[in-house]
Amino acid sequence: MTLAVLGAAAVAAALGVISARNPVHCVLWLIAHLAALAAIFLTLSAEFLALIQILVNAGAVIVLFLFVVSLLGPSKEAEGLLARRGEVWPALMAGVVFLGALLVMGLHQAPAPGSVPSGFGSVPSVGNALFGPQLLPFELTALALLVAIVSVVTLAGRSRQP
Amino acid sequence: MSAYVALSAVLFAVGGVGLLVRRDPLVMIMSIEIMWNAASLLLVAAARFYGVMAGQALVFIVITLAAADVAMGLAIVMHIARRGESVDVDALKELKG
Repeated sequence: MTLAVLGAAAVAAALGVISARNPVHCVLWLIAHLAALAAIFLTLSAEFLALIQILVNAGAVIVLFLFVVSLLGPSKEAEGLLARRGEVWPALMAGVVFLGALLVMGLHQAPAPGSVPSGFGSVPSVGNALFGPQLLPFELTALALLVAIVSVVTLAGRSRQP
Repeated sequence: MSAYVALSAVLFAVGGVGLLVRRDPLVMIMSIEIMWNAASLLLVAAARFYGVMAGQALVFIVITLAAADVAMGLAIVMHIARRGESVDVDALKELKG
């Protein structure tokens, strides 16, 4: 029941993101989507990840989006740059086919729900997994962040000299 | 578990349709964000149902990479906008700086 309500909210907010004409409204829908997902994370006993989702995604990433929206200003094409009419139906059909493929692949092997171990999803357990078995992916994430920082600084610095 | 898989698939498909339908690169990046979130929802659900913490640790990494991805995409959008070009992806013909 909880999942139905929260999932409907998440899907509705995602539809709002892709259909709102004003980019600021898209950002607001995205905040609602991220909040609904954080609530779903809570129902899956992932408290720490729900908190991180709110802090990083709904906080830092949204601020980044809002900064760029306000720096760009209202676009000359005030319609929020929706696709031309002839492109919407093929995209919807592709989405339906894609969804069908995902469901066929994903739904036929669903395990029975197990009992929750104590401390599952708490900060110590996430930290133990992150710095224990998952240490290599964690370190590679640091490398990816370094690459992202260098590329962003390069892009932002180069445009200052025309 | 199958309800979570279905929800994740629906969100991923919505993000993919948004990526195809919109021409504003900002909203396209937001659609990619929705797709990242669908993937992390699937990972969290799998971690819960299989009782393995590795899924949640990977979601931590996914959130970090999504943030880096958004930052790079927005830097490219800003770069294009500062050159005085339209930020319509159909009007962009070259990626050369």
